[in-house]
Amino acid sequence: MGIINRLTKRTLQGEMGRTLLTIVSMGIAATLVVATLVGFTSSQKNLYEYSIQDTGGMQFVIQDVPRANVQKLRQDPAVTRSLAFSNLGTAALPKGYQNYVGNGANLVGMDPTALRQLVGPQLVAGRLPRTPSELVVPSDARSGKPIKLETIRLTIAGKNRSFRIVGVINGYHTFSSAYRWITYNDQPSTGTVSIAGSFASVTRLQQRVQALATANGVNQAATKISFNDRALSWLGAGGNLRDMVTVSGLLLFALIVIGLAAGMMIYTSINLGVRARTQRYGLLRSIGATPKQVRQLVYREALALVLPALGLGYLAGTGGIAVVLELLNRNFGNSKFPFHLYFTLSPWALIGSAVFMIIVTFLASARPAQRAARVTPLVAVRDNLATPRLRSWQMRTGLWGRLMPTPLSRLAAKNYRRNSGTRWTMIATLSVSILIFVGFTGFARAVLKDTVTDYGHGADLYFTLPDTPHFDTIATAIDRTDNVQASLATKRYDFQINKRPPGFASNIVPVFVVPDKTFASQFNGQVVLLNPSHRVITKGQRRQVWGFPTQFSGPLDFAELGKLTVSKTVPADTPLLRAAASYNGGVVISESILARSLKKTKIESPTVEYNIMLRDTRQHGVTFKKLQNLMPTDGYDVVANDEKSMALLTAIQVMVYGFLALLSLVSLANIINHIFANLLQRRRELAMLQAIGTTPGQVTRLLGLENGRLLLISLIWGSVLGTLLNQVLLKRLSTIYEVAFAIPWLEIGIVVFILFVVWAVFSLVSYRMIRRQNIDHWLRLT
Amino acid sequence: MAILTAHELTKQYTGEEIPALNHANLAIAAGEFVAIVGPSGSGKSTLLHLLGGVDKPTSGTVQLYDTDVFALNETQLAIFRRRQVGLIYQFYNLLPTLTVQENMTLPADLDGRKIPGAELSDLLATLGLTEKAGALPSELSGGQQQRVAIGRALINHPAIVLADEPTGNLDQRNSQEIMALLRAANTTRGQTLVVITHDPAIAAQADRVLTITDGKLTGGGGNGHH
Repeated sequence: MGIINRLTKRTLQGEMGRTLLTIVSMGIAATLVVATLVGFTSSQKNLYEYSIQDTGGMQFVIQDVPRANVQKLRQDPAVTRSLAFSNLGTAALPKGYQNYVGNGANLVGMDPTALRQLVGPQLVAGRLPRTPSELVVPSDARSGKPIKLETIRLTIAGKNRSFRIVGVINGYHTFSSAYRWITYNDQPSTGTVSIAGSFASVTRLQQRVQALATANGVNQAATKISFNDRALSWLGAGGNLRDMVTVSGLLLFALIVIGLAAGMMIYTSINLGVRARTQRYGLLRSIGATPKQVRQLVYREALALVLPALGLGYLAGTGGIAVVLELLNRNFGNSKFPFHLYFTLSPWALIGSAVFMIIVTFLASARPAQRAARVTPLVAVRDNLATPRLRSWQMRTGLWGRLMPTPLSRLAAKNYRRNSGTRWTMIATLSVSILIFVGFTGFARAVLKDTVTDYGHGADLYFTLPDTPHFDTIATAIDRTDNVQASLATKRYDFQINKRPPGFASNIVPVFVVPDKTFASQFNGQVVLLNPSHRVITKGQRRQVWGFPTQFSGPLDFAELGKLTVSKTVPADTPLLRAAASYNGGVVISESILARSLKKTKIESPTVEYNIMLRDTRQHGVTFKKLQNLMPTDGYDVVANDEKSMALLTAIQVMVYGFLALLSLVSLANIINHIFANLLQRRRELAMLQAIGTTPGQVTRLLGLENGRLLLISLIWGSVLGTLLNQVLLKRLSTIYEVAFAIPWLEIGIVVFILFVVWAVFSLVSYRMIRRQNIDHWLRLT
Repeated sequence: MAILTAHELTKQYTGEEIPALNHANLAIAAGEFVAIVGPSGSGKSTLLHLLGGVDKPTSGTVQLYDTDVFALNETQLAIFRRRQVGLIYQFYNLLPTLTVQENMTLPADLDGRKIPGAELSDLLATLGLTEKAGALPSELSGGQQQRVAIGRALINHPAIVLADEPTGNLDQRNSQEIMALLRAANTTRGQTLVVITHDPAIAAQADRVLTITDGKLTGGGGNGHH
């Protein structure tokens, strides 16, 4: 072992307390790095798995594969999973139907496996086809109007075929141009075939799939391939550069913040070590150590500290993420939502953490190493040379010094003023630590708080139907279904008013027609104006705004209905009313009133909506299925969607708060490290004070005053800058997302509390240390 | 023949009116034992540090053999101190985390040079530290610590050993032992030796005694104001 390594080892062993404190502090920073990178790779994997479910686990679809090459393509070693479906030809659509995506309405035939995997996740209404005469159509096939489950005739290659529409697929799903008009087919195709597939490795996926398609006879392969870009972009393999930049940018941003916090903490530790050992470096220099050798000594000390810290980081970081994911999975299990978070231990994350920590450590040690290398040999023999040169302003009694009432507090003020070099380093690092905590925690809290819905909860389930003559019969049947607590059926028309009353934003006023029975029971037979509210953020402040004047009553002159007298305005503040009113709100009338008032015989058919509240929301799946039999069209299970959103939100919240908690711990470790290392460095000075008759209590008060002032100034700087950072981040975000700025008092309060605790603990520890220290021992040291 | 010469060596500290060292000239021959005496604050230690390349003069030169010490850059100066100068301080200045043997071999280790076992054993035996080779400085008496410092100064066979009050912190018996060791190095190994001292008995053992008063050196043996 070389002398530099030996010196490093002995130095660290000789100061075991400081060494362990530094290793633990660096270990927290390493934990943060490991947890971030492992958490990031796990999140990538989880979001990929979540998004790839939309396409049945398939990454791509290649269209127009010649039938003869299908087996060869599917058996290619790169292809780990695949599904094939037949292209049955371009269909001419009946009147009222249109195809909005792709070149013509291509009818495809799928076997049950392909239907289940590729169509199932994107089915928004109805069911999958079970016979070659059943059809799934895209949701936009009727220009946004609800799809009727009716029989239609398609003309394919000059032949007419009848299909009964049994289901609706999301018209804008990921592979949409590859399959929109889908029927059942388990026979070998006579035409070309489309193949959905997946590769094990996503490296250069786009190019490899294109090469595979070209090699298997697909003409103009680039235009015949669709990718699940949303899923692939989580792995950085999507075609959408912006997604990749966003994901990488997010990681880079997190790493910069961590690097800053960890770097400052490491800098503080190493720098204080260097200051404490200045005389030793002077001695080494006097007996012939070159500046380079002294620099190496400091770097090796830092490296020797970061290696065990990394070990700690690996254990705590990976263990912590694994435990958090397990707890979240258990939580998801309880909610019966099929959402699973995978723990991914990528070697790149582990290697990346080590490289990152080592780079940060080297960067953070550079200045202390330079400082150590610049120590002159004379420092070894003349301790007083280490005393900084004081400027004339430092020699004057400042305002603080003049305000201090006792000799001790005046001495504290003098010490504080004359110790400017160390003081500003400490204030700068503490302020940045506080800035990071206040800025980012406040920001995260504001964002996560604002993810709560803007409008409050609506119905548990809802169904949309085309206009139906069985409007109220279906409503009655819904009310009689098990587990349905209440429901509200509405037909929505958008009618024009001839004269717009004050406070009405538009001449178009929605009219909600409800069954007569409902009108009598829920609205007391009165025409009311259903008034929705929503939240807006103006000048950074959140406030509630109403769709209509809150006290409106009186006549409204409709072009299609004549005059309707609104008896009162009802706030849409119950889940059913909120759901029925939707964003715009409108006038509520009964079917009889509509029939009596309608001037025109031909009006555009309305959208029929059934909003339903459940007695037991845990049984939402069963009830939803029962109601689907009643209304086999476009239904939406809000509870299931909320569970899904809540699961994702919970996962995000846990990750974000975990990150911030670790970041805060790094900052806290920095503060503790700083203050206590400073105390150890000043032991001789304190012994001198004791030698001339200062009591331990007085010395403690002296230190308490100096540190209290330092913490107070850091608190002010850190809080002000942190609040500004918080505001800047929220302002940037407010361009794409409605978030409000508020001064992060909670975070500032937490910082005040923590600083007070640190200050109190410091006072206690320093008092005990000073009371027990051997004054003679410290005075004899040179 | 002079191996070390100082020419017009002046050191003026910032804020001080009188120079700590004022145009000192000095020539020291190989194998010579020179004592520098003078009252406190007269500039003895300043002169020693300038001769050892530990501090830099305001003006003037120091030459060891043909090398102009202050024309060297930082790294060259460090290597110069490591190989050509042995420094001994009043307060020993040992590294508390290294053993006796490690402290002694430190300059050689820094130089990447391994001291042969027999040579090291001889030196330890000469210094009376054979039994203490593995001990830490905190386990030694003041006299023993100073012997380690002497061993460290001699380990690289430097051209000159500079000792700043090497017995200033020791009792009489230990002082005599330390001086005997230094004297022995001078006589048996031909080691050139410059010792700063307040002690007339130590000065009396030297081949030549230089006096320094208010930064002015007398009896230097070189050109100039002496």
